Amino acid sequence: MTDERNDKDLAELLKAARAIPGSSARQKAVSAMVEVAAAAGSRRRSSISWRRAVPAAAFVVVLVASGFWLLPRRHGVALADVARAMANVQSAHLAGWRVAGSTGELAAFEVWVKGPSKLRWRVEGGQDIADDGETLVLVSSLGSVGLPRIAEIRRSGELGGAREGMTYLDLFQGPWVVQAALERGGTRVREWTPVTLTDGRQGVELVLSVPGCPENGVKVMTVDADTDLLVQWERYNGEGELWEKVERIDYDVDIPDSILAAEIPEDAFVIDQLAPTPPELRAERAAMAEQLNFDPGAYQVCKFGGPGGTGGSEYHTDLRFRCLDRDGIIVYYLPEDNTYYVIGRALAYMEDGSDLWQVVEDAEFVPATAPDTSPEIRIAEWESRLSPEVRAAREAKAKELEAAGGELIADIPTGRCSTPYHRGMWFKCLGDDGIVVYYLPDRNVYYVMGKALVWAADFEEVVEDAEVSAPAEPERLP
Amino acid sequence: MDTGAARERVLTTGKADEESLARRLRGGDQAAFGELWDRFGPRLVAYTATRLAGDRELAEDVTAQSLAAVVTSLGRFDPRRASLSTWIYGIARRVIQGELRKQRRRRSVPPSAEVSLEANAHLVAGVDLESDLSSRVEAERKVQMLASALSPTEMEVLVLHFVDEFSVKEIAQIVGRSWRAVDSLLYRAKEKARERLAADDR
Repeated sequence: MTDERNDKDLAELLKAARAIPGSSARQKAVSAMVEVAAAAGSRRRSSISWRRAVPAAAFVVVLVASGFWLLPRRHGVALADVARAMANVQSAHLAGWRVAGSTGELAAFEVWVKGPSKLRWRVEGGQDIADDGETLVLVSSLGSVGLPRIAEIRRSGELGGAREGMTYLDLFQGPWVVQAALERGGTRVREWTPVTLTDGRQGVELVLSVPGCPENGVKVMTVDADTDLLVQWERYNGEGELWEKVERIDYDVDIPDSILAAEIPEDAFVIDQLAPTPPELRAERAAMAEQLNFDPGAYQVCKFGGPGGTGGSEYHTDLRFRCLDRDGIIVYYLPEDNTYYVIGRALAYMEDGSDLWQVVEDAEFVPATAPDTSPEIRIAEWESRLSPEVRAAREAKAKELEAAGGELIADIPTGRCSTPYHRGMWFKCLGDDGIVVYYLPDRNVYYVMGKALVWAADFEEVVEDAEVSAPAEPERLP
Repeated sequence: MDTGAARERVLTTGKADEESLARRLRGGDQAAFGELWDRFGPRLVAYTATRLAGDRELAEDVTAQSLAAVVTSLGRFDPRRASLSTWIYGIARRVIQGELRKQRRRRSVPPSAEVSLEANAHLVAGVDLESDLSSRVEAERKVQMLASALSPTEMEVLVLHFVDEFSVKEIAQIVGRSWRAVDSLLYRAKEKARERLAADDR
């Protein structure tokens, strides 16, 4: 028997067995429609008008303009002078180390910046970023030797988290904490110590503290007293442990083009952000997202607005999804089928040491194991942690923010994911109570329910049930 | 009512007709509500019953809810993104899933799914009742057998394809998965169905 014949028989069988509505069904349905039509008002959501992006002022401009932050020139150094001195730098080479990952191992790094738009930033055993002024290539590793490396090709200057208008020189000449200090106030110089630099010249060591920023709570910067240039800096975590140190900075050095040339490893998985996504695929993805968002049988696992994020699944503890799509991904879990659905392209992999991985694009991903838990249990856990009063307060606040034109950025119930980048900002759950984040475009501020670490290229703060101002105009339009 | 003709009308309905119907529904035109039922109601009842273990009465109630949800959601219908029929099926699917979650139904054949001569007399007037019902009962037995062998999603995709005659792309829009996923699902479902039917015939 042919396939066509088989199909025809199957169609006839299914049609013969289909349910046929009774005589009252029509009246029942029409009455229901008339009733809701009469009850429904015009409840159309107001559309959100996005403000046009305005290039942000660069670090140096902000620094110089903020005259209130002048330190007394007891030792011949003021931060404004540092800013002026560094604004004249044309190239720099930095070398240092940082604590890598959760193991506490140290990874050496080197950074070369040339002119405003060329960069090489190489971390030993980790990311390698090269921007030759035309194309930026970012190679990252997921930390396991069995997993593929990922190479993203972007337009020059599109380093994630860097604000529009900020150059590489801005980024690396001025430690970010200085800008945070200038923009937010409340930062204090805790210590001020004359030091002798390695070559015998005089310098000043400044210890700055920034309230509310545990990961960047204390900074130590050393400034050359003769040139007003930074020669070292250190960053400490909330426990007071040193986790990054730039030990050497050479200014106005000759950087050959070969240093700035991108290297894409042969085994890397390449994400070419310069190749546009076909409009029909974008529309298909948007339609799927809308369907799944409103599907009571689908649970959002994680969502990223662009490549680079990694989300963990609540339902299979060791399962991770790494975003490989220039337009971001949304991952849903469909417990009925024990299946994940990935909108966009992602690397699904296990963090259980098995090094199993699979690239999934607009398709289902079926895990090899039964789920560790169910959405109902997760939601019940979350609801049991949050008191009814807190939940009620969050719901009331959400209504208030929506009425004020707020847009929901993320609603993450259980704390295993972080939000996608939103206009250069990123929010990571702290604690187990999840976060809800709204953006209010008219005032360019965010409201965070729950406790979150808020991060941008030059900004960090821990926020809990509070409003936080976006530090600058957005990185790019949504 | 001639449901076959109604279905045929749906399949030949042009985009302009759909937009016109959507406009009239938005405007609260009560005749349009009746037209919405005539175009989609019987098909939706059949589709809904498939998802609700063949419970026709419950399927009628859920279909009424689905069409009410269509009326309240019309502001979100964008004809550039989906046809009216796929959009309506997408809404119906969500309402059905809500019902399934609410009731946590076990898959079984409810009493209302059983065929009786009296209950269906109005549907089969003028035809050979005995032979028609006999073939319908046999068809229902086979479909129940398929429903127990296939996953709910495979069964759903089969019905959308063979009964409602949606294309793979349209089904993908309705169920919120990619067309590749649906294509593969449909292929698997057809293979399984053929194997089961062949085994049943032996």
